[in-house]
Amino acid sequence: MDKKSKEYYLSLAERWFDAETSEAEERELRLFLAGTDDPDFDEARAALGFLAAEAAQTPDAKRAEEGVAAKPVATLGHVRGRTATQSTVGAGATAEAVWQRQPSAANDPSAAKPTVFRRLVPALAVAAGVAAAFVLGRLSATDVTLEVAPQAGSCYSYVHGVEINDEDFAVTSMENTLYDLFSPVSAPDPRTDLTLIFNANK
Amino acid sequence: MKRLLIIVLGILLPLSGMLMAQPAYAVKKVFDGKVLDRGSVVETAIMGKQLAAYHLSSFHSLKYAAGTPEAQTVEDLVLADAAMANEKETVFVDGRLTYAILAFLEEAPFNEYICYQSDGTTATLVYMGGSATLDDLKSIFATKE
Repeated sequence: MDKKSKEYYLSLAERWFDAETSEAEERELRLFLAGTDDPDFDEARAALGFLAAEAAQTPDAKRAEEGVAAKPVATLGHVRGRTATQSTVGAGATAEAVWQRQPSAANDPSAAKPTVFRRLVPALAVAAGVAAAFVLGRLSATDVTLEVAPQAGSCYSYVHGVEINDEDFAVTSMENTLYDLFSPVSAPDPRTDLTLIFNANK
Repeated sequence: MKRLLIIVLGILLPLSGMLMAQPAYAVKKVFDGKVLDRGSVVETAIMGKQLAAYHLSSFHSLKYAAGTPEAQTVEDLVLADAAMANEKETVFVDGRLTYAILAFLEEAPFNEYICYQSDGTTATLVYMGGSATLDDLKSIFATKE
């Protein structure tokens, strides 16, 4: 493969991704990709391989496998240049997905040219993802730590609905509560548990 | 391939954010005043420098009458949180929870604890957070001054 032809096919692949190639050019690209292992074409090869595998799983292909006469298979379009629509065929018929090809630049000069926005879509997706992860992370952290905890700087007690704004009272109350929780008298003693178990079995 | 990677990352990052999200504690609704009548509890809340000596940054406790349907609800909520705790010490007497220390250590060095104690007459529910480990707290509060 000489450099000029590689550049040509790279350009062709780029145009294929942008849905600007004709069917003849797409076939030419497929033929070329079938005979090269150049890693520069991995993306196009993966996308075209995916489409080929997907085509084998379309309802028509499945019916063909089952021996039912297949309807004409819709032409597969490009990854970026196709849409899936639902169509109902006749009364009582089941709806099926039909891949429709959007007009390519070669077929229709009015076809959309790649815009700055389209080129920014992946970057925007990443930015949105990072922002969403950050917001969700912050929200989850807030749920866990701050909503159970009192407001920052607060130090108060309520005794049966009566507020006591006495810092010493609150701290003493806190200490007494923790002494009650962590003192050996309160904390679970394995011997106590065993006594309870054996007494219960008597 | 680079584009595919970028698109996949764009999809996976929000998903990972959701997966990392942790649910709020079940006992949160007790501290929010949605279970117990505020007029019947003794509440203490401290968040600030007063707790520095104990390596804690927040403390919130509720003392209330045990044996009521509301107290049973609190017990159930504590048990729900116990299922998610990294470390826990629980004591049951006649099928009732009487003592629980639940440690949530995933955000270390910021540890969180939910404690519960009931003697059949009075019950205490505590939330606290800080850098203190369970051993720190036990050694500090093992003996009453």
